[in-house]
Amino acid sequence: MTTLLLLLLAADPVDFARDVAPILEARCYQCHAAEYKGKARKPKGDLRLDSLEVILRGSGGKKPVVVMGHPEKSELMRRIALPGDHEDVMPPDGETLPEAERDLLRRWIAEAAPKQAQPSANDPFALWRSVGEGVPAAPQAAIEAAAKATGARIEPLFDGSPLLRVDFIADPARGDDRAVAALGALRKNIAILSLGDTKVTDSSIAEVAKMPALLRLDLQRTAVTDKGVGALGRSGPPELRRLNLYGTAVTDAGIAALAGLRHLESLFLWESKATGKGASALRAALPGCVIHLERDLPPPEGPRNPDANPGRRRNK
Amino acid sequence: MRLKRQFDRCDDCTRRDFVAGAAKGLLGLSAMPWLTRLAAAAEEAAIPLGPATARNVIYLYMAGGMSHLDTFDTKPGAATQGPTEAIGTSADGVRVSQHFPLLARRMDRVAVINSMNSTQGAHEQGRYFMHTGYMLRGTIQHPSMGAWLERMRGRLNPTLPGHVVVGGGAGTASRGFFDASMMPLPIGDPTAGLSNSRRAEGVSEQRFEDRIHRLEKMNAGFRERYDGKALDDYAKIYEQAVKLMSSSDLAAFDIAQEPAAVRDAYGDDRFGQGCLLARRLVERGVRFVEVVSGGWDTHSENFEQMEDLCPPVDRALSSLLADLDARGLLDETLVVLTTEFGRSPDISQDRANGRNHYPKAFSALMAGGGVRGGRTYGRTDAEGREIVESPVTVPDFNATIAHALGLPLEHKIFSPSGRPFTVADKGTPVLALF
Repeated sequence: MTTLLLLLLAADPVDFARDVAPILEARCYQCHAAEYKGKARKPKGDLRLDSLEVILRGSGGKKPVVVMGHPEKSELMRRIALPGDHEDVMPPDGETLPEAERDLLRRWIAEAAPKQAQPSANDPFALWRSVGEGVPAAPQAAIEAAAKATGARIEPLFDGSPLLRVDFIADPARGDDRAVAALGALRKNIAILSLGDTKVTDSSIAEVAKMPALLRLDLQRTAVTDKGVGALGRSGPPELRRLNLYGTAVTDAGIAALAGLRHLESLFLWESKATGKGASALRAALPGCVIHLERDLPPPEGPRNPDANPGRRRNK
Repeated sequence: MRLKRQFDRCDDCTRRDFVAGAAKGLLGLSAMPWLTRLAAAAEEAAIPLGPATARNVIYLYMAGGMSHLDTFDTKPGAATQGPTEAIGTSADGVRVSQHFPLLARRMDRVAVINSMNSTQGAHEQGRYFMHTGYMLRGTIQHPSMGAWLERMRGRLNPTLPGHVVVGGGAGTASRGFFDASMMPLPIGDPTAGLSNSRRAEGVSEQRFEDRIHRLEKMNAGFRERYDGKALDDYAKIYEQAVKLMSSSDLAAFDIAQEPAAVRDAYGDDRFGQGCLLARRLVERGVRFVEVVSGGWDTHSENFEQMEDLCPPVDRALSSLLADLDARGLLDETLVVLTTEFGRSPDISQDRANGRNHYPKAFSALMAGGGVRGGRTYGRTDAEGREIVESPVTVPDFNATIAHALGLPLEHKIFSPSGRPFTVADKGTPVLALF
């Protein structure tokens, strides 16, 4: 019996954004929202109903008005069900909520419990937080000066993180060894450094190797050689997780040194001079690292059906 | 700066301006639009920067409504399945239809959502809802996800457009109520390069510059008298176009530079070449590219049409994933495949085995950009009719894209008329996909 009931409810669940919010917007926002008609205002009773999150906060952040899964315990349901002339009825002005709308709200509260944000099995940002811990934030002036000197885009990984992401995608031609040297002032903060297609050479690697929080380094299609990669492997950034050497001239001899990067998780070597032999040797040394050596495009198409023309049969 | 300019302008407000303004006000038109903008600018708080698993999005749109039963939610043995067969994939427990043999080899990188549902069962409304997260209304035009990304995060490469749509049409990518500068660049034929991006024959660089200069001079008087946001925006678009014409980034649009073998691997059709173009653009810093595949509205001859519709998508998507992966771009590029709704489990006999519109349950894909592949999320019943596990609404789906991009879901952006909007309209991101 219960199962049947659950199935029936699952068939057409009430959706907050689609079903509930419009009712609240029409009848409650005037007093219980952070703004109404584009104007900021103080919500009455310190109660906001203009998003799921603030509804769950309740009145003044203390008194809940909605108890998920329990319409009968929800103050909001009690108030809207009062007779029109009752002094506590909500909304206080105009008609009381029609039965159909009250029913929707009741069903929403009754059903809402299972569908909350599902926690992820792994937190993709745990590493960003732990590596950033205790790192002093770079002064804004230093960030601006470096951006101006190098033409790079420099931004934090997220608000409040001391770690920075630096890339030259807007103007790779300005990325050269001098630019990398100029990033030295931000050495402790750089976590993601994209130097793809820039003019950097092996001499930049010494500076890059001194970046203690570096997690991702992109050197694709640069002039970096075995010499630089060797230096990176020997004295490289201790936290490095991802290294992109696609389109460089590195060989098996160079990548052998990368065994020193104990945390490396992915390495990109397509269109380099490294071979399967070198990759296997490195895999043995770094079993946790995925090495991308090939571009695995599908085989060419067989002869085509001359009639094949997607969309040729147009329907109404 | 702008603030000052606008106040200065107030000072030399002429009687004519005053009358014009008053007339507009009395006629119910927006009087002095910059005034409301001034208020909006003052109110606009800094846009919070969330941690992002993805930096770019390649958004593959199956226009017309893709049958879930014949693609990614197969039901072998069910009466509703028809002749379509399911095949195994590189991911344990994930099956796709026989029409996706190439993609089957890469499903370990792809997450399938089989519990999509929409409230909109007509094409225009469904397409609009999917692209914007909001329902189509007469009073406002909502921005699509690429426009939200550009609005909240700006461009990675200022020379190139912030977002591009290949083979789009009504109801696909749109700037909505955002500034004209946030318009998506539409590309009709991906093999044609960027149209009108070269100087006309016989026009030297010097002459071109002279012409632009004269244009600016002619416009200057007008702009002095009627300075306004819209004019600034359009002037900006001109500036950007001229800058792009002389930029090496223009080559990103030229897929003829790709080896023939690569172009063949993506498939010699508009969708395949569009996907190849998308990769080239993302590589050069365009953060959001939509590629549209048309013709999925299989009211009749559904099964025959699937044989034509699916293979180009199978080929293009497989190539795209492999190509992005080899370049180290897949980790940061969220590849999405979606549609406006699914198609009816019931096979309509009177229309030569067709399937009709079915917004109640359908399928979508996500790969790369921090999404963990090789899994399915959500489930429909044994006949593909009802969602029985973890429903994902259209706003939830868009919120998931926004979450991957680190866009703040609660941050309000005001329309020119002062109404507050949030990206993905209060959808809940499906965190289990990451």
